[in-house]
Amino acid sequence: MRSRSLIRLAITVCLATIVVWGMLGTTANDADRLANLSAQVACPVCENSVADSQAAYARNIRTYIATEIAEGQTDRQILDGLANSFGEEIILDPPTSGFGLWLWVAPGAVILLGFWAIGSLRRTSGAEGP
Amino acid sequence: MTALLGDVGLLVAMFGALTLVAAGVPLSGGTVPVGWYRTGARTMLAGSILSMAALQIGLLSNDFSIAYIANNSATTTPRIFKMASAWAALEGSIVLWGLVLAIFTYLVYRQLGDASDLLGAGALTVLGIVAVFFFGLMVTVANPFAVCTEAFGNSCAASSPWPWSATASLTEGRGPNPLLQNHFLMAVHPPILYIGYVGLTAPFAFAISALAQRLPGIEWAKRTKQWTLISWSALTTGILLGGWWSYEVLGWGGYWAWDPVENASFMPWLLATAFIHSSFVQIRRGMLQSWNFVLVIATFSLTILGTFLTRSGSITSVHSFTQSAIGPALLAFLAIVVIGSFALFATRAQMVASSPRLESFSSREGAFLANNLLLTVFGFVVLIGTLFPIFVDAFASRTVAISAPFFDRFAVPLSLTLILAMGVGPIMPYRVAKLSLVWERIRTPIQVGLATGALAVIAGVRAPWPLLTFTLTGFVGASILRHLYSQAERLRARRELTLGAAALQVIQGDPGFWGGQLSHLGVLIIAVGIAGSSGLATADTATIAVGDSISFSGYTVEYRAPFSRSEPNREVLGARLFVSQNGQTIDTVEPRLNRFTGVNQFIPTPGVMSRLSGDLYVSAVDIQADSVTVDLWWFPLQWMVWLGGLVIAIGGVWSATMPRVSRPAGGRPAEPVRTDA
Repeated sequence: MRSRSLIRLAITVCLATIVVWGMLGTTANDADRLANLSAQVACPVCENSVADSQAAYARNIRTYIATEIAEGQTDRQILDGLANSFGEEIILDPPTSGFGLWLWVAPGAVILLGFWAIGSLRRTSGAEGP
Repeated sequence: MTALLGDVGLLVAMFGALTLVAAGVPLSGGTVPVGWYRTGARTMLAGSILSMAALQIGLLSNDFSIAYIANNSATTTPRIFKMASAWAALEGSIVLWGLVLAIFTYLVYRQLGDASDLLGAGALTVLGIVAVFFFGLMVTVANPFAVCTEAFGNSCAASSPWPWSATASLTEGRGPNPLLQNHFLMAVHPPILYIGYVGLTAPFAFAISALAQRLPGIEWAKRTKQWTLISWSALTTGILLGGWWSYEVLGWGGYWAWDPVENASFMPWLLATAFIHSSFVQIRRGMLQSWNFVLVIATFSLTILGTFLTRSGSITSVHSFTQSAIGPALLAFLAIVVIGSFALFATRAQMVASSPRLESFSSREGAFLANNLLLTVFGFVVLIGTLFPIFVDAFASRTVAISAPFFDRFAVPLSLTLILAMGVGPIMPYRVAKLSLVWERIRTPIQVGLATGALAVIAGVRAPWPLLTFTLTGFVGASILRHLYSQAERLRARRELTLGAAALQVIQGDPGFWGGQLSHLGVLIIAVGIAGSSGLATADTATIAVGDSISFSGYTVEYRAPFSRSEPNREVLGARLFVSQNGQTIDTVEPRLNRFTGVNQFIPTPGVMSRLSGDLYVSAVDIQADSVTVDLWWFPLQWMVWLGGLVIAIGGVWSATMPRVSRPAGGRPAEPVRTDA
């Protein structure tokens, strides 16, 4: 009985190792990076990001990003470079400073509020709600 | 004549709505004027059917004396899109809204009990108040039957609400927005979405009725469970159909872009999902009474906010019809709903003040709370992401776009945590779940989940998020099946049944719970579909000369020839591409560019080849006689997104409508197998 559960544990650990290895054992290739970066860049002349458009503008930006990747720039450097040339608005992620900050902070605050509310539900029998 | 008919319909419906409101007056004395409610509900239904019928007659008979029809239909519009034009623009879509609301109101009336049913009667009055607003919109600022008094080309430049005004003689209309006459889904997506959207008024009405009349307890939550489930199923289907339409029509290679309009339907969905779960806690354990009021009020407010966002022109998309007069009206109504409901709620705080204490975080209640927290936070993220650009624009006069990257950053981890909770929550007992018991129930599912993930790794998947999704879905799927198996096994041992028959009896014994589990399976199917189609997609752009071919994602794609054809409402230019695998032609795809009459721009229709392994999605950029430029995508497992949506909705309807079947058991009284739903 004991050996059976040991075998089960061993199999579980093996499976977990394979999954974790699969998750970590990847380095993004250039095509992935291009797709990922262009999805973060706004396309003023089309609807979504430059990743989803065949407008000349979007193509140009994609070519620019591909060149930068080929030259060995990091993702951060490429995005900063675009922001410098075209203005902050071109980066789709809201800024993490100034009044864009609360967009990132507010959800965390709501989660904390929820934890507090659930905690109070455990302590007393009156207050409620997550 | 048609305009007059429509106007009469609106006025009749308005009269019905006012009757429902007036019927609320005697309620404070404790009597229910059942006759008034009957008259009100029937009159409103008859009037709204009449107005929708008038609109359809006008559209089908090309009655361009009505401004709405002149601006949204044409003689060349195919019949199905003529009919769908009834909800393709602002005024018509409110006619549909009114019709759906009237149908729901009538159904609520049909369930009205005897003269002591104050709760149901109050709900009907609330429904009447909401209906007065919407029919009020139609008879004032958004009259769908206004007649055209001044023509400008093929469209109407000025109109008058009085049906006897002298009309401009238009012989041809402008036709619908080309994007909206491109696919049959346009005929079904809006009505189904509206059933979901408008249906959420019913739980709101019951909640307000309970609050206003100080009717405490779980009665309102019990009575609205069915309404919520059915509306929620329709909303789920409507949202997915919208995504499918976007995928089939827009040709940008996706179905969800966190567009404000999509968000407008998704926010109420998230909160309605939270309410469905937390109402179980209230019905079963008497907890979360006040929280459920908050959820229901917030859900309804979000449907009005969504309508405001999409119908007022504060954002631009295919759904925004840029009409300004209706914006302030909707905003005022939203303010009244939010302030009025929460003020009422605040004055009734003592009514819901006491509720049982949460005994342990490790319990079904604890899991439901976690579910509600996650869904509420999710809804909040979508809300601030949607509203932020509007506020920045209004107060700082700057344009910012909050788009997919922001939402994805929150949506992916929140969704995966929700999926994880789906594997643990349903197997936990109420009150206190001993950790040893929980462990015993999830041990095998964990191993199945890890095995699923490992299989995906062996199959070559290396991306972290998809791998995590596959592992979690394996875990949750196994958890659901294990739960069913262990229940069925227990029953089989007691009753000498086959395992299959026992499982069937377990499911029939508690359709509420197992319908929910079916919806959970649907979520898993969608999750796998999204992980595949988004996380593992490949894309390319290629120019192919006639007779030439390229390789893409294991297929060879050859450009044979362009083709073109004239249809009454559009010119179609297409490219015929042959797809072959291992030297064998397996399919053709025909991406097209459409030019609609009176529109100077090409609208692409993608060509899609669907297989079990995924979709080959081809969108034309440029079509020439000697070459074609196309965007190609390979979306693995795309079909699972659509299938999953269907399964979720079926689970919801199952939960709402299936009766609990008690088993005859050899003379013994029937004894349903409780699974703690």
